[in-house]
Amino acid sequence: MELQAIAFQLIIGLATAMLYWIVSSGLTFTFGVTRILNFAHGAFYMLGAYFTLTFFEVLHNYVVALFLGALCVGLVGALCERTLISQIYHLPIHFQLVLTFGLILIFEDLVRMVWGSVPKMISAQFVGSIPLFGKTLPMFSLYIILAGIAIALLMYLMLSKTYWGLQIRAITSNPEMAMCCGLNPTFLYATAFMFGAFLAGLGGGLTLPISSAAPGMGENIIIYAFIVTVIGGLGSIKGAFISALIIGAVESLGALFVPWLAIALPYIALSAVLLLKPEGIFGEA
Amino acid sequence: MRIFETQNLSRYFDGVKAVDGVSLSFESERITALIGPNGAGKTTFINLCTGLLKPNSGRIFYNNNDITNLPPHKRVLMGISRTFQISNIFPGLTVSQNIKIPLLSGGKGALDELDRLISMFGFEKKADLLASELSHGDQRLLEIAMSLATKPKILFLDEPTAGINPAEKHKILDVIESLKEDEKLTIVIVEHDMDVVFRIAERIVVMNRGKILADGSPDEIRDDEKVREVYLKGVEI
Amino acid sequence: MMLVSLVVLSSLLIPLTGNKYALYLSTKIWILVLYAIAFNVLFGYSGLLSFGHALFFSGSAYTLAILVTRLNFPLALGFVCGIVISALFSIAVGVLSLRHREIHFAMVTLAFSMLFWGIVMKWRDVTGGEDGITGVPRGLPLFWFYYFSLAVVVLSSYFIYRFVKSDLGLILEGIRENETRVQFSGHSILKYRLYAMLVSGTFTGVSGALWALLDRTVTPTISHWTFSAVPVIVTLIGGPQNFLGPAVSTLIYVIVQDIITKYTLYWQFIFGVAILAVVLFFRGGVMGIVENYIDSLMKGGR
Repeated sequence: MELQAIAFQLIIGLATAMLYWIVSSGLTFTFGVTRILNFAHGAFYMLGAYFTLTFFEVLHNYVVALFLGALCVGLVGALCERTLISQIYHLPIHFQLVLTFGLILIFEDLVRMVWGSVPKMISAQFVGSIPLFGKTLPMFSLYIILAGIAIALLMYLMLSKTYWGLQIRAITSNPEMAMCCGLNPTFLYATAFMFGAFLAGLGGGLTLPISSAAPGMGENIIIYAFIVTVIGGLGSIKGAFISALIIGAVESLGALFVPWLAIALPYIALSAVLLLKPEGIFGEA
Repeated sequence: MRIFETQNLSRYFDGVKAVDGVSLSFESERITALIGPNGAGKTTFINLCTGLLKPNSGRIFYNNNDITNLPPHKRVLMGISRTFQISNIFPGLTVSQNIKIPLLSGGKGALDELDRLISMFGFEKKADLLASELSHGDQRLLEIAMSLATKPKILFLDEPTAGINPAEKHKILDVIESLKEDEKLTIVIVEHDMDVVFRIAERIVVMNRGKILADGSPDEIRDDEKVREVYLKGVEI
Repeated sequence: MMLVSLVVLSSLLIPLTGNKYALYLSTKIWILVLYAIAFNVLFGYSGLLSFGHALFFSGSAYTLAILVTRLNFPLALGFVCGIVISALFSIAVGVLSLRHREIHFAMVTLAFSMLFWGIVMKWRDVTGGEDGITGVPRGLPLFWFYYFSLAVVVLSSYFIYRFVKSDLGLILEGIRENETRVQFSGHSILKYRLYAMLVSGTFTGVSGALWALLDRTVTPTISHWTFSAVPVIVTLIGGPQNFLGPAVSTLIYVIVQDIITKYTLYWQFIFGVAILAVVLFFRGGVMGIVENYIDSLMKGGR
């Protein structure tokens, strides 16, 4: 019984972990390639939810709406990169943080102008639950786990099996050398940013079935993305995946054994990593 | 008197042995030159001695105290100071502020030294300039002044004359020689310029591939066949 | 110096206008001025970008509010305890972030401030959750509270000024310029970074405690990370290398915000566009303009 409860809780934790992973994958990917920490990642997440919502209202097909929504966010991301972010690659980090913070403010108000301030929901998706270990697991948890794994696979395929991925890896590990080999950094940085924004948008759309879209919805989730990426090592995709798993496990087991401490557990994990291995699990020193 | 000693010091980078089992000791008030081809491990050795890097194995002793695990600032306070291969100063602060910061580690009254150091290095007229406004040679001198401000007993100089015009080079060499005489300093200097090495060194240690190849007086090194082969070949002595 | 005394002296007259709103707004400006100046001890003088100063601000505000409204502490004691808590928070965060700089430092401070936000939101019995704590007594009528705040802010700023211009401040500037050289000058980076953190966090706490008294309400807004962004942006616009830069741009920030919100709901949008403009086109510009202006005024005043 006790063991079953733990196993069940770990499945729940896996779902949480996959949610964190989905949100942080794009953030850490963009940082790894462009060295820009995109504060506006949370705003892209929010846009993803709203775009998906609108496409769903028109098309009544959640999966298609999800992809179209994320694609639109990717385009918004590419537009931001070309017009704004590309101007600040050489600047100290505080300019990057402040500029992307400005983007958050702009996108939040734009969302208020277009969709209004009242949170919006779509008709329920993935309702129901399946029996597991004598308890019931919500369908949504299962779906988010599958989505997380799908995104991990998508990133793996994009980066290791396509020519674009090869170029991205080259420019990440050695920008000067990559440029000498004739790679086009303008194109690569723009598409990397676009891909990161696409992932953020996907994250926002994916959570739509259980949470409503609201201005500011990205502001809090982005903090978890930061914690995950710092623990995993900034810019490390593998690190983000593993640290999301760690936080998911810590949180769900914590909820079982020390519920009063649950909210602080990710931060305690963060403190521990910072003290023992400041650069993160897979970070460069 | 033996002031500084390393025993079997090793440091690896990705499996490459940058410093490989080096045991060296330095007598006080002597100038030792550390030479060797690029990648011989000279700078790594200095980084280990001064605490910028931690060794993978081996021990470091200063005045018979084991300092292997001390952080850099504690070694500085004990009397171990250094300069860097690339000028390592505070570019946005003035010359006198640059010298003041290391002086402040000396506790009360240490600031009395400020004027003496400024005039010793001829910075009287430049004291209020930003360090970034100094010539390259003056920046090197400033760094030596800063490393002196912590009142060292042993000073590690990593290529103090690299990339400097001949006139300024002589100024730096004069300063280094006067340090030994006037300040009773032990000096370990990494240098590529053989003119400089044979002008000021009393002892020369030759490194190659992380190991010590030869160790002796300038005359001994000049006549050493092994050294000629790996290093001095083609260089006129 | 002349200019500063002039501003302070003329601001002594504000309460005499009898305009309650102007009085409230100018008290708020003074408090935010201290917030920005305290923040800049870390950013401008030590080169450490904190994105979590809301922790120190709200830490003292909440402590004061909780002690006074829930535990019936005397107001003065609550005020002091609030500041002490901020000081303790700053040491704790300082120790945990000691080996980090740049982006990592920003994220670590951000994360810990959000931990506090999480606690504030969840621990309803004590913090009031989303609604916050209302009914904090001010102790003084607004008229006199204005003078009290003014005195506290001016004295605190003077202390901070002396601190950054001291030998200790010089070493902090050294850390900003070149950390390795400071180490090889015989100084422990950790020790001095902790000093900077402590001074910055403590005086941020002072401004937070004043804020609780002014608003008589404490809400989670001031512990959210977006509130940490305020001094960052204000400082960047005002010029981090100038002691008064952040103060001047705080003044502009509050007044402009007040004017814009009268005309449109979308203050954030306009502010965001302004930030983009500053970063893209007036990077040196706005800072340079403000600094040159102050410099020339100060020189003229001497």
